[in-house]
Amino acid sequence: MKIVLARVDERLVHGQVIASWSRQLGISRILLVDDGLAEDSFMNEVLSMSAPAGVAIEVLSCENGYKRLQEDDSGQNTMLLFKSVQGAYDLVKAGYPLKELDIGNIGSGPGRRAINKRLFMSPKEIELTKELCGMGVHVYSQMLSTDPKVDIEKIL
Amino acid sequence: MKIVLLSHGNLCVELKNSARMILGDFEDVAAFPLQAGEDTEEYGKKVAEYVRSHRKEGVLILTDLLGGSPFLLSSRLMEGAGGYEDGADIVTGVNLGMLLEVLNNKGSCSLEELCRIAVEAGRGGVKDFLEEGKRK
Repeated sequence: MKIVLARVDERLVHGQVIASWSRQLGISRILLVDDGLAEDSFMNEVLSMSAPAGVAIEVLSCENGYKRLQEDDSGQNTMLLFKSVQGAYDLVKAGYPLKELDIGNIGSGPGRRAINKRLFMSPKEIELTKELCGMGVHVYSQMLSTDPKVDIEKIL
Repeated sequence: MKIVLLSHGNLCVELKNSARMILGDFEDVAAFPLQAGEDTEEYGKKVAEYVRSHRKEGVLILTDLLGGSPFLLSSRLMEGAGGYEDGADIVTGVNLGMLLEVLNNKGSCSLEELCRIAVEAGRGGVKDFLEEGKRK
């Protein structure tokens, strides 16, 4: 598969964002890598229901996601989606050579402070993000394809 | 039968208000707007509590957006549900046309029927004026 976008979005596959990215990049598959969600077979079904027309959603654990990324050579345009920074970090730690990561949307929560209007991060998440940068991943923030890409280090 | 309206922001509240303009007063409709920055877990608990306490009367949840947070949170309530007999269902993509038809019919049909009516009414009112004109 061809990863055309790797993104952290806590809200997962909500309509507007995913649909606009899918159209923009000709995405036919969303690979959601998250250990917690992979175990949640009910939510898997709900997420499949939520996919925009013409887009298949697969939810895999970090380990299985990594295997799939290595094995699949279909060339399908795929969005790699994470629910959290931790998810992306774990995959990179497992050895996946992620080049770019869009931290698009993380909501407010206990321990998190506002980075900008759509990003709230805890000290731990900030640390993981900085580590990802240190590992050579170009981490940026971009909500919609029409928004500018902002280097994450500039806003942390 | 209770109708639960869920949306990002006040869309659900205003849908209720607009429906009132057309139908006059009605009861049994609860709107739960999810505001920007609101704690989604708390929101989910609020909705769950309402559905739990009214499930015996039948609950039809209408949400604004398939895949949106209000939808995903309420879908949890359907986990393990057997079918329409369990007393609840969700229809996504609510619009005013859908809400009006649901309100007009909710006293006189089953949950399953009402869901079918909701889907048909939601879609049925969507027409392209120029396209319709071409058909003559």
